Amino acid sequence: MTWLAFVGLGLAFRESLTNAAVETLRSADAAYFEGYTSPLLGLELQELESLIGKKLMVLERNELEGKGITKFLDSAAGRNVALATAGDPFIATTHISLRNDAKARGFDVIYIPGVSAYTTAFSLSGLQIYKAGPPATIVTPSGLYHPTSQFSKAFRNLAQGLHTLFFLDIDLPHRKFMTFSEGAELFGKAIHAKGLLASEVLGIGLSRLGSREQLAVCESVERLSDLRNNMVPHSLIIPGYLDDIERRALIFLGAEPRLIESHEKSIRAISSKLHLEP
Amino acid sequence: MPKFKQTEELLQLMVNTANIRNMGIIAHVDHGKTTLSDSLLLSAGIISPKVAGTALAMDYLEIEQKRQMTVKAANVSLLHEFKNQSYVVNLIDTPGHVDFTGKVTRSLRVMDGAIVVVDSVEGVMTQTETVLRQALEERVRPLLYVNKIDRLVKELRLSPQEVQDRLTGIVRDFNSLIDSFAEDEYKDKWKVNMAKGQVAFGAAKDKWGFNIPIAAAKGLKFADIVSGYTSGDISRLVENFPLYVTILDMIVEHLPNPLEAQKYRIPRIWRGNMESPLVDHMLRCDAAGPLLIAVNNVVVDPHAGLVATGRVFSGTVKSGQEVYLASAKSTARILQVGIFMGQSREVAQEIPAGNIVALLGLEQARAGETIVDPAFKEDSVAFERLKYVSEPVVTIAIEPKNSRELPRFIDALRKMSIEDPNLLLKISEETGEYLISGMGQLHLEIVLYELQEKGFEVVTSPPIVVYRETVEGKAGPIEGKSPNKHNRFRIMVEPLNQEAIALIQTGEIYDNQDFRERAKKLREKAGWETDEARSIWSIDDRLNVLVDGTKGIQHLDEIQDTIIQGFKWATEAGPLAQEPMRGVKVTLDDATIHEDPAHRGPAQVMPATKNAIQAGVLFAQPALLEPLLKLDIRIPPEYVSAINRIAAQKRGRVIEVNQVASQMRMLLEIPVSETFNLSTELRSATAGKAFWGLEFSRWAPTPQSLLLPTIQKIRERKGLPKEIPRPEDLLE
Ligand SMILES: Nc1nc2c(ncn2[C@@H]2O[C@H](COP(=O)(O)OP(=O)(O)OP(=O)(O)O)[C@@H](O)[C@H]2O)c(=O)[nH]1
Ligand SMILES: [Mg+2]
Repeated sequence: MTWLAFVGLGLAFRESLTNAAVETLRSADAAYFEGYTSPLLGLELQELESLIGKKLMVLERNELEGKGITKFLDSAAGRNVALATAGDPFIATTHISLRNDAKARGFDVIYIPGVSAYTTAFSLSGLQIYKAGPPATIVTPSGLYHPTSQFSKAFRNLAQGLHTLFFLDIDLPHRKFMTFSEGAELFGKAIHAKGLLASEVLGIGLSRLGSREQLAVCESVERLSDLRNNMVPHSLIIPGYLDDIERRALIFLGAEPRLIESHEKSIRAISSKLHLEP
Repeated sequence: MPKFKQTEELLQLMVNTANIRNMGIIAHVDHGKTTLSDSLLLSAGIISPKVAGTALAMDYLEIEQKRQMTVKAANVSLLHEFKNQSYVVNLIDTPGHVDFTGKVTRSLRVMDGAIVVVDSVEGVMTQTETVLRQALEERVRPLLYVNKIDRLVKELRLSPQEVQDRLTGIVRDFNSLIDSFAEDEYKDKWKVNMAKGQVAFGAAKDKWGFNIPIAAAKGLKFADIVSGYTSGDISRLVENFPLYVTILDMIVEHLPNPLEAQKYRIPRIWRGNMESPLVDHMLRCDAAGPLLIAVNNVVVDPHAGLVATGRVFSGTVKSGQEVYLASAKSTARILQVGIFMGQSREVAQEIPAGNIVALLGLEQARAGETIVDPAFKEDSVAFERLKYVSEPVVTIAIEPKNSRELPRFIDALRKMSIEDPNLLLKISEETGEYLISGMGQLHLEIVLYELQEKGFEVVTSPPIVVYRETVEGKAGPIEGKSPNKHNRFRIMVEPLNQEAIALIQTGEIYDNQDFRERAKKLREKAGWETDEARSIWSIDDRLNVLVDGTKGIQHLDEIQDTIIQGFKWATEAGPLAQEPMRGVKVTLDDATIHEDPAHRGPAQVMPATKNAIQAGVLFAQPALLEPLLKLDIRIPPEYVSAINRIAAQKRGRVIEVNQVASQMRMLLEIPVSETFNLSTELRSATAGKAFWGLEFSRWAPTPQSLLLPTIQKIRERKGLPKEIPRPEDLLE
C-alpha cells in the first residue's frame, strides 16, 4: 500500500528542518512543496533537493484547492507522495480537508509534525500557553472585505484575561506580508473604538519566528504601530492578565512596569464593557 | 430681432426664478426636434438667421449633421422677451432615436416642460408615445408642436379644410395619449387646448409657425398656407410668423417656472429621505438652501476634462465649492461653474436654484449623479435611480487596425462610454477582445463613425446579438464549497416574479434602498412574505435579486459583500453561454463559514457562491432569452401583405394593424437577430413608401428548435468549451 505524507518543514530551513522530514521526503516517489500559505525562511531549494535526492515541486493554491484536490489525489494514487509545508501542515492551514479526502480514498496518511509559529510565538514571548485564547488572523482590509471579528475575538479573550496570538496576513504570490506595526495600527483603531487608549494596551511584536534572527518586542500597541521592522514575516500577541513570571518575561522584552499596570486596567475596563454589552 | 452675446444679461436674470423655464424638445425620430431647436437658437444670436433650418447647431457632431439625427443631448440658455419682461429659457436638446432613449429619460429629469414635436404627415408615432409617457412619468408638462405642415401641401396636396382636419386630428390623438398616460390629477389639466395657444403649427425648416390666437390676431387662414406653398412664395408667412417667437411665447406662457414646478415634481422624482430638510428647500426652489444638483449629462472635453451638466434643485452653486457625489460616494471640489451657449461654455461666479449649470472638476460624476452639500450626504441616495426603457442588445468586437494605437484607442472608447452610459465597454475574459455593446445597430455605427473621425482605422466583428439567461423552474438548496472546502453555501434559484421585475424596472425598488420601504412595496405589490422582502442583499442592473434566507449565522455579516460579489459574478455571465442572467432570484439558504478571517476571504467565498448559483441555474430549467424589437410602420394599404411576408420570413409577429387616414399602421415584433438588413428589405418591398421606427420591445425565450444551435454558436464564438458545463463540474 502506498502512502501520502504531510510533512512539516518548520519555520526556517537551517534551524528547524527535522530528520524525520528529510527522511520522509527522501523515501517518497515524488515530493511537493505547498508554496502559498507561508514561507520557509532561508530556504535553499537546490540544497534541499540534493538533501532529499529529488526535485521538490512547488504547488500553487489552485493545485491543492477546488478541482486541484481531485487531480492531486489522482496523481498521488499508486505512488508514495510527500507534501511538505512550512511550519506544521495542519496548524493555521486548511489541509485537514485534503487529509480527510485522502483518507476517504483509502490513502495511508503519514503526518510529520513541524515547528509551528503558534507555539514559537508563545515560547519566545514567555507567555503561558495555558492562558492562551483562540488565535486569529488580521487580514489586510479592502473595500470588499474588511473583517473585524478577529478584534472582537481578541477583546473576548482579553475580557477573560486570555492571551491572543494574531497571525498577520501573508500574500505569498505578491510577496506581501503584514507587519506587526500595521497589525497594531488596525487593532489600535479597534481599541479606540472601544473607548480605550492604544497607548495603554500591551502588544508583543514578533518577527521571523523560528529563525536565528527571531525577535520579540513588548511595547504599547501605539508604540508598536510606529516601529519599523522589515524582517518579515511578523506576528503579534496581545497578552491577557500576566502572572509574575510572565510579567518578568515581558519586562525583559522591553515592557515598562507602568505600562503593564495600565494594560491590566484596560483589561478590567474591557471585561466590564463586554459584560454590559448585549 | 435676434440679439447677440447676452451672456451677461442672462447671468443677471438667472436669479429671477419666476422668469426661468427649463424645457426640452422631444419627439419621434426625424420629426424635427433639431431643426426646431435651431430656430430657437436664432433668437439668442447663437447662429445666424440664414443658417438656422439647415445648420442644426445643436447636433454639433458632424456625424449628426450628415445623418440628420441628434446623438448628444446638450443644453443651451436662451433669453426671451415676452410682454415687456425678460425670461431665461434653458433648452435641453434630447435625442430622438430609440437607440438612445436612456438619454431622454435623463434629460426629462431636469426639465419642467416639454415641446412634443409631431410630423404632420406621419402623425403620432410609437416614440411620440414613448417619450410623452416618460415625460408624464416625470411630471414634465407637455405642449404640442405640429411640424412640417408644408408637406401636407407639397406632398399630400391637401385642401385648406383637409389641412385643418388633419391638424385637429393630431391634437386629438395627442390628447388621448395624455388621457391614457397622465396621472389622474393631470389628465385634464395637461390636455393641450388649441384655442388657448397650447399647440403650435409650422414648418421648422422654413422657420415659421403659429398658434390659433396668433392666427386670429393676425388674420392667418389655412388657405394662406396652402396658397403659399402651392405658389412657392412663403415670404409673408416667414416674416410675420417667426417660429421662435411663437414657440418661446408658448413656453413662457404655458410652461411652469421652477418655483411652481418643483412643488409638485419633487415628491414624484426625489428618492432620498422625504423627512430630510433638503426636501423643503427643494419644494421651495430655495437659492439660499443646501446645494442639490441632479446631473443629466456628462461630456469629456479635450481641454477642460469632464463637464457635468445638471439642474440645481436647491441652493446656489459656486466655483470652489466642496460637494458630495451621492452615487460615486466621494467628495470633490467644483473648479468652475458655467452655462452653455450652444457649443461654448460661459463662466459664471455662481448659479442659483432653478437653473441648468455646467460644472468642471467633478471627474467622478456620471449622468444620473446627485451632487449635494456634504453636510447632507446622509439624506441623499442618488436622486433617483433612472429607469431605462431600453437595454443594450447588440455587441461588436472592435480593435484598431494598427495595434500600436491600442492604448489611445481604448482611451477614446473609455471616454465615449463615460459620456454615454448606454455604451458598455468590456474586455472578453475568454478571448481578450474589446467588446462594445449598445442599444442597437445604429448606436454602434455611430460609435464607429466617431472613432473614424478621431483618426482610427477600426476592425470590427459582425454585430453580435446580446442574449440573456434565465430560469423557468426552481432548484435547490444546492451546496457550493469554497476551494479550501471549509466554507459552504446552500443556495436556491428560481424565477423572480413578474411583479417584482416590474417594480425594479419602474425604479420603485432598487439596490441600497431603505429596506423597510422596499419590503413594503414588495409585500403590497409583488406578494412577497415580509421576512423575505426585508432580507434582500442585492438587486443588480439586470433584474437579478439576492435574498438572505439564513438566520443567525456568525460572521456572515463580515462576508456579505463578498457573497454579493460572487452573486454579481455569477449573474454577469450565466452557465449556458456566459450571457448575462436576467430575472433570477437567488436565495442564500444556509452557510458554513471558516472560523478565521484568513480562510474565508473573497478568493474562497466568491467562487463558492458563484458556482452554487450557476449549478442552481442549470438545475432550474435554464432558458435563453432573445431580444425582440418593435417595428412600427406606416404604409399605403397595398403593401400590407408584403410586410406580412417579411414578418413571416423573420420570425416576426404582427401585433396590430390599424387604418390611420389613408395609411395603414402596423405594429410588429421581430427578433433582433433577424433585423440586420431589415431596412433594405422594407424599403425595397414598399418601393420606399414606408415610414417606420424600431425600438426595443422585450426579451422572449428563444424557440426550442433554435436553442441549442444558438448556444453552440455563442460558445464557439467566445472560445468556450463546446459542452455546456454540468452542475457536477461546478460543484466539485
Ligand atoms: N419638409 C420639412 N422638413 C423638415 C421640417 N423640419 C425639419 N425637416 C426635415 O426633417 C429632417 C429631420 O429633422 P431634424 O430636425 O434633424 O429631426 P430630429 O427630430 O432632430 O431628428 P433626430 O434627432 O434624428 O431624432 C431633416 O431632413 C429636416 O430638414 C419642415 O418643417 N418641413
Ligand atoms: Mg435631432
